[in-house]
Amino acid sequence: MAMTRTEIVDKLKEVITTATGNPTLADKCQEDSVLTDDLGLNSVGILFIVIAIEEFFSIRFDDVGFGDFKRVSDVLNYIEKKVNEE
Amino acid sequence: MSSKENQKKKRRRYFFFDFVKITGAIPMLLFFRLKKIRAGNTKSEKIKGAALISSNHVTFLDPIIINCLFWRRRVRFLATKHLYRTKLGAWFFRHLHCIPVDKENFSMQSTHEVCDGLQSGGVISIFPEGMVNRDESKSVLTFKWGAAMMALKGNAPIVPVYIVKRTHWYNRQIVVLGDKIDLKQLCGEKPTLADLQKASEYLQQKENELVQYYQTYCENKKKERMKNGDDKNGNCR
Repeated sequence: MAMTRTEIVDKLKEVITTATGNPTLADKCQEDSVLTDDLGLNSVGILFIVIAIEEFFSIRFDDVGFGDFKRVSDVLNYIEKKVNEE
Repeated sequence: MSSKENQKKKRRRYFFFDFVKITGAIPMLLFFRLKKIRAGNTKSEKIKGAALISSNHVTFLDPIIINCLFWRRRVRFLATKHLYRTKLGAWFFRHLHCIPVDKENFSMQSTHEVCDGLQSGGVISIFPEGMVNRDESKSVLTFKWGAAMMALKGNAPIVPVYIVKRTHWYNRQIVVLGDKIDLKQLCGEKPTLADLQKASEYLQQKENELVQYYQTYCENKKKERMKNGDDKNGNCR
């Protein structure tokens, strides 16, 4: 199921809100936001959100680690690639 | 595929694992002479179904101690990637069904392997301290959140274990076992990041309780020995 980038951004915000239980984080979630500094996520936090993304989008992040995602745009690019690949 | 064929395949897959376990069991049991102390209501160390064993990390021999303790099950471990740097090391740890992890960049593949292993009813051991604790005191380092996350995502209970640091190689190896912890009860079906932190703190609290239990156990033993005049120092063995 192909999705546009805007749709993915909206859904990602939804996932982040559900996974963190913090609705204010979704507002801070901009393409150039740094995951660790702007969103205040640690390594396990990033993995936790990635697992939530996998469940939500029904995709699997295989060949990546938490260190590969520095900014929100990195996560978006990966989701976009995976979603449109299927 | 029939269940008989499946079993045959599984036995073949775990041949090296079982071989190492069986041949290593007698020397290791003689070396460690394990002494199990049960801190909770658990009467046996038997594990049925999936479980994540969470233990403190005092030496590089801890995986062997855990395997001796839960000898009925095939316990898998997480192994840092640098153990795989040589061909022999890679072959050995791969055949022991260890899960390679990169500490600098923890990969999703490792996370999937742990979660899938737990979901399929396996037993995986993890050291939430993340490194060998070289501190001489009996305290436990701060737990990282990974263990709680994997138990929640793998839908498995946690078995807390406290490995007592041996002061001499010839002393008996004492291990304290706690009751199973079901994090789903604590965090609910849809845990958030805050729940994960809470679960990790709870896990640490349970481990500290095991340390406390061991210290009380030692004091009682000491008093008992002093009373009987068996041991003037009242060493805990």
